[in-house]
Amino acid sequence: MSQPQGPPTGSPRDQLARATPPEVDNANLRTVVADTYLKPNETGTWVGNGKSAAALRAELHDGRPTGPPGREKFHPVDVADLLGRYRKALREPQLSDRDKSVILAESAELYRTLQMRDTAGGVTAWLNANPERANTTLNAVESVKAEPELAPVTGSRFLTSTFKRPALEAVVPDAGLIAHLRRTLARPEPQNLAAGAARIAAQGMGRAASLIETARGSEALRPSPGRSGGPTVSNDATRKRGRNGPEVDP
Amino acid sequence: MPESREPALTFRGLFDWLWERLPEARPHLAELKADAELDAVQEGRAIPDASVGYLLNPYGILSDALFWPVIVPAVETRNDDLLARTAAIVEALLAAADEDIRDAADLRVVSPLIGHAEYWSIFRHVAGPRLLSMTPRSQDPL
Repeated sequence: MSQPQGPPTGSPRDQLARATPPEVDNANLRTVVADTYLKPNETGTWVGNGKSAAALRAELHDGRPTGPPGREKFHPVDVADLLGRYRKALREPQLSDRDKSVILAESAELYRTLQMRDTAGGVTAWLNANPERANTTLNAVESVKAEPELAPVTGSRFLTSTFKRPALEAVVPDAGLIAHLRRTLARPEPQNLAAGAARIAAQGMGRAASLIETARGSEALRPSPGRSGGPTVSNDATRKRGRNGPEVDP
Repeated sequence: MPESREPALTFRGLFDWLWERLPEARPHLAELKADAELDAVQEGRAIPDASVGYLLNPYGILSDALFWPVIVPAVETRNDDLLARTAAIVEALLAAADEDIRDAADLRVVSPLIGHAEYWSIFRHVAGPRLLSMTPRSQDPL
């Protein structure tokens, strides 16, 4: 069966012509594409164009799971996994231009779908029923936001470096379903994590400076009488705890 | 009755469960684990405990460590022993008490198995009752 059933009503649940999987050159990428689209021998009814993202769009719209009769299910974890697998496919050696193009196009659709509003609330309720569903879904989105090659999809900005992997500089805040998950799980946006790490590093530097000042001010670091040369450092002094710092070993 | 030490067939336990049951999946599971841990470190996410299952999506485990790298080659090479063992794995997945495992098995194993005629024409000979019950009548074994 390859034709839509009935006239479209404008609902995401309308059965449209099935989407055809794009040709790709990389064998591993081909498996991800195959999992994204309706299978060649799948018959009966489907939602939208038959892709996983179309199923999730319908679920977000009306709150009902999708699938063959008796096998209906919600698709956010499925969609999140596909998104993560497209990101991993970027690591495959010798991707052709059309492989990269397919990765970007499919990732964009999956990413946009996960950022849609859960109008009916059914998907959110299902995700919240098991925190591991929500965590896994959010992990996939965060990995994609931190992937420099998917910046055209996510809008993330990166600081480029000649020698190191580009560092995440800023992200576009999540919307819809993912923003809701982020609030529920109390997980900050990745750029806030980066800022937090920078703060911790700065605090660490502050403690180190404080320790140095403490050590400089101690008797033990003053030149000992009868010696020319550098300061004598006693074990007692160097084991002295700074105001906020750790105990220092000689 | 001795206490069972078998890993639980749950969202978090799937990795260990499959590792125990199917040696052919282990290199693929190890690769998934290494990738997930690298991602977590690069992105500053904590690994909360020793269970790598937290980091891995069961859908990805079933696609990238079972269906594509183990079941499909078993079908293509008509490896009867491996086909029988993977059929038993599929039955156990479909019988899992955990809804997430059943959902993942349906979408990532059952659907591509019965959705590709070239795979189903071989695998249906070893398929267990739960898998066969999910097959549309038009795809029933002749």
